[in-house]
Amino acid sequence: MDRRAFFNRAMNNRVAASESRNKMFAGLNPYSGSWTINEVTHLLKRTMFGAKKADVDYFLTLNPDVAVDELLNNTTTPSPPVRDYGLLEDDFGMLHDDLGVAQGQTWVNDPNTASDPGIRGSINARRVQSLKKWWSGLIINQGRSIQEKMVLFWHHHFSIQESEVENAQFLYKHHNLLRTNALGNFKTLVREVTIDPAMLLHLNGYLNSKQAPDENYAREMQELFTVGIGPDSLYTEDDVIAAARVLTGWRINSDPLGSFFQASAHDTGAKTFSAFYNSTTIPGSTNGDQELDALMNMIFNTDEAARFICRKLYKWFVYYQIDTATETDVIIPMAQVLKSNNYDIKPALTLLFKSEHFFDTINQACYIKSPFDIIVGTLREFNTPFPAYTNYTTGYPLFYSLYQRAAEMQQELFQPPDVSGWPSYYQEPMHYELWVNSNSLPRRADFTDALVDDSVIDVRAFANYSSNPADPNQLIADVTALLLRYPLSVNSKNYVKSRFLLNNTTDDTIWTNAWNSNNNTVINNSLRNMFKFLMNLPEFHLC
Amino acid sequence: MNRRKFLRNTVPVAVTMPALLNGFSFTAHGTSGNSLARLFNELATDTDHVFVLIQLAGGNDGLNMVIPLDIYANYYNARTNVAIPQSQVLRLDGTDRTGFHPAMTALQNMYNEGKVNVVQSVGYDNPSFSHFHATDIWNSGDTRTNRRERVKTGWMGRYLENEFPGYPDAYPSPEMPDPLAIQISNFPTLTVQGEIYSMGLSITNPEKVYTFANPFSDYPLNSAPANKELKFLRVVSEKTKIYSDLIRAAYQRAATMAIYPTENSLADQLKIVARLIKGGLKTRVYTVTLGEFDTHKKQVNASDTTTGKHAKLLKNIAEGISAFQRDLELMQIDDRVMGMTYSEFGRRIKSNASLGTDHGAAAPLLMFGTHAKKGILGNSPDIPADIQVVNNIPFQYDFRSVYASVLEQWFCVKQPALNSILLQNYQSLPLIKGGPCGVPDTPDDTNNNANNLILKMWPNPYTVSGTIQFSTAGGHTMIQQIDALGRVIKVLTNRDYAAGTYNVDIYNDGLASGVYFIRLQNKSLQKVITVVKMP
Repeated sequence: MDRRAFFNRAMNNRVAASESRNKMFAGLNPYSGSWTINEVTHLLKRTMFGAKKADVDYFLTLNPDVAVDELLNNTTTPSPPVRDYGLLEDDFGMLHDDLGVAQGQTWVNDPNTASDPGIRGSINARRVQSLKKWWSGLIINQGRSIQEKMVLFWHHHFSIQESEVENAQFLYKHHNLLRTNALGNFKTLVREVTIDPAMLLHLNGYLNSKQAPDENYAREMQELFTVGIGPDSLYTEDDVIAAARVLTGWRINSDPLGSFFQASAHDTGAKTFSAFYNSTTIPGSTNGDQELDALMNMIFNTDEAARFICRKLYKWFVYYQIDTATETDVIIPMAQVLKSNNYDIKPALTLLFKSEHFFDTINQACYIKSPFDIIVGTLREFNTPFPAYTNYTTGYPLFYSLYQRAAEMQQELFQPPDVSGWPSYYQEPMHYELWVNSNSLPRRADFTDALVDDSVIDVRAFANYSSNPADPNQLIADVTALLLRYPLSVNSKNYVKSRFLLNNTTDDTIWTNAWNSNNNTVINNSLRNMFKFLMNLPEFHLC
Repeated sequence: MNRRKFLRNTVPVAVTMPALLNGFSFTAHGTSGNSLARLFNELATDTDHVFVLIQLAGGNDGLNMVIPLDIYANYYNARTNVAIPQSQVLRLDGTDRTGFHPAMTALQNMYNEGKVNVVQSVGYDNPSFSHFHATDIWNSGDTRTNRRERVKTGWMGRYLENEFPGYPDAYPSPEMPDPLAIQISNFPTLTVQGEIYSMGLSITNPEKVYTFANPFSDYPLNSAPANKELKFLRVVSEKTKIYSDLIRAAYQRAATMAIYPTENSLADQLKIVARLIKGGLKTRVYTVTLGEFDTHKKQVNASDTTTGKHAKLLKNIAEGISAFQRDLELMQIDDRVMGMTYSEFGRRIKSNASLGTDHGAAAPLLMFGTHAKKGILGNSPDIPADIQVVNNIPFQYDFRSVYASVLEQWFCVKQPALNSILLQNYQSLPLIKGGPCGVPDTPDDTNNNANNLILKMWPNPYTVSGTIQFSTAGGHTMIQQIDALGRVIKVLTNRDYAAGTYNVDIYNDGLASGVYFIRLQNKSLQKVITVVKMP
């Protein structure tokens, strides 16, 4: 089925939004439709940041099954961030070295014990910066894998904030936990995050004791990390208190960085939970691990634990509206697979990404790009070269500018707005729409304009992706198929063609002659203006 | 009260806004079928008054900005290494109790000309020492610590949303042809956040904002979700273009008339604001920001404490505001504009060993403009002679009382809208003279008559019960019990009284033994006594 026929099929079947989702509902049956640039770019732009031409071509040679398997299994373990900073100046102009690590060496195992508190603070600040650069470097250098989008998802999910944690080593350890388990086991991840030093600090777990219970983490763990507050999530205030009691006594060890269980601070009484948790009783003990495991077993025994995370994944990858049909035909079956696989993430994601539902036209081109989609996605789609993520001399400064651009557009690594993550993935009713306002839209436009004006991206090379760039119709069809998930109408394409390629005429030969005679001035000016225009279109912000 | 005012004043903001602002249906029906929308559109107050908020980010050291001369010895003792020498403190007309930092001559002149009001020790109970939380608290006007309870809107956002329901879909409109609020900054601030949309437009360069015009309006993809999002993007793009053009046009219509200091980012921002106002924008609120107030170290130069980082910042404030005021006067629009400074917190009374100061609590703020009421409201903060690191300045005036004053006396907001915007009732303070709203000037505006108020408690010390006797000049009267850390533990009364003397009994209050303060506030007058609870 070609692309147009595919859309026509959709048109015939659907009228209005929610009703149509009901009727048309494709469900989680395996997708067996066409495998064209349309489906491949849909899959890649949702699971990665941008769809490179080379990646599109590569995945076109596969079938949907193999393509999804490859995206989910192609993960790598990067080497940790390294010291990229030189000497540090104190208040009196004296220079100090970070004696813990040499430049180019990783600092993640060094406890930063500089004696001067000011220097210690400077070292920490530089390390946090190097961590952000390193992570941005990994995102821009991502392989053909869902890995980086999943790592960012978990960051959104657990939403650790640098402003609260203020310690590079803690932040890296936390990040590495998310990265290591990004496509692993959700239950294990929650268990480990619960006693992760950064999280103990972030949500006051390290202060939680029998003498002075602190419910902060116990509350967020249920509300934000596991069972959520959906209509069927019926845990009670007493469950929050009981969970806090289970978690009393976990403390942070700074060197070597880790956490430990301090039995003297632990509440050894029995903890009884509500009917939502089958009235489970966790017997008191002096074994913190055992009680933590019992708590995890109890929470993850609920259906809500599986459904809640599936809803969040759905909003992250597919669309933010979950109507009754989606809940019944997608979320619940996906959650069943997640639970029956003891919370291994991959089988559930595999089911989703290989489904008719995921490739359904109704779920295409409705996702508003995040700042990282805009920044990294665009740079990758234009195949802009970047140094390897390990390159701290020329690479790190470039990676830092990616981090800063994203922060300006309201997506700052290690600083989501609060413990709930980015509102674009949970805030009713606007969700993704929150990314775009009169402040961020010009910023996005400035960014893409600058990519062209400053020749950061090579528009001529992009034009050469076309099967026949000398033909203005083919050229526009091919570049918009790669760049825009929301299609331009025939009229719109003609407008673009006439305005940018034909000098406001309808004479196709103007462009063909320019291209064939290799008239660089005309070709480059035309393409630059056309690409700036295309990336300013509202359509460009959809993927 | 006419019907329009009645409606506007009785519909609580928080209840009506989400429904009214929900998506595009509002636009679709707004012009024809939706009478409610039309009704609301007519309700905005017709005012050409402008308020400028200057955020001093990082926590401004109020004690070195407004220096207490009446308790100078204790001040000096608490922070010898950063203290400003008494002889160099700038004197202010009509008071020998308080003066300005020596870098603030421009503001000293403005004060003496009667265009500055200083409000002492502005803060709130149970202060947060986190930059992020404290900034949110000031910008939202909500001090609740539980983030789920705390509103996600800004105090000015609630005001503007109350005035202009249906923003942004139904705007620009004939009643409000311009942006409601403009932030000269990269990031949208919480201050002007509404229930769903920001009421503000962020700009950094008024001449280049957004020039893209979307030529397409068809929806070739027959997918409701994709079309919904595309429509949203097209509307934002269109509004951004419209407002950018308005801003640019206004900016280019006016010329700067005063001489602004250079290398002063506050001055740069205020210069833009003045041109936009003069250029004819009906925008009511502008926000600007000056950063780097987090002076943990090297706040002053060891050789001369009147110089250093903080002195530069204060000079920027004084010269920036003063040039702005001069510009407004030359443009002949000073009658319409007022502004104030604020910071997320003040700094600790006792300085640290790094020639700096750590995060503190209450601090003075400055109101300025032709209509600012000359004077120092409140007393010098209480600085103990045996200063400890933990000692903080307790607040004399709740920051929401300042907000209430602005809304009531500058934007003419009436009850109950005022309560609904500020989430509860706050006493308004005499900060504005000859304002547009017909609010009578209070004769006593500097707490001079506070000593005439009766405030005593017996027995003192007390064990189980006691009686507090207080007098009030009438009107809003509040009594709070504050603990040694400056936290409000109990509000013993908070309502309108007829002038007279009254008693409040406390019995078995469940408080731990120790020192407490009893604070009486009757409009601008406030008085504090110390009481002791015995075991």
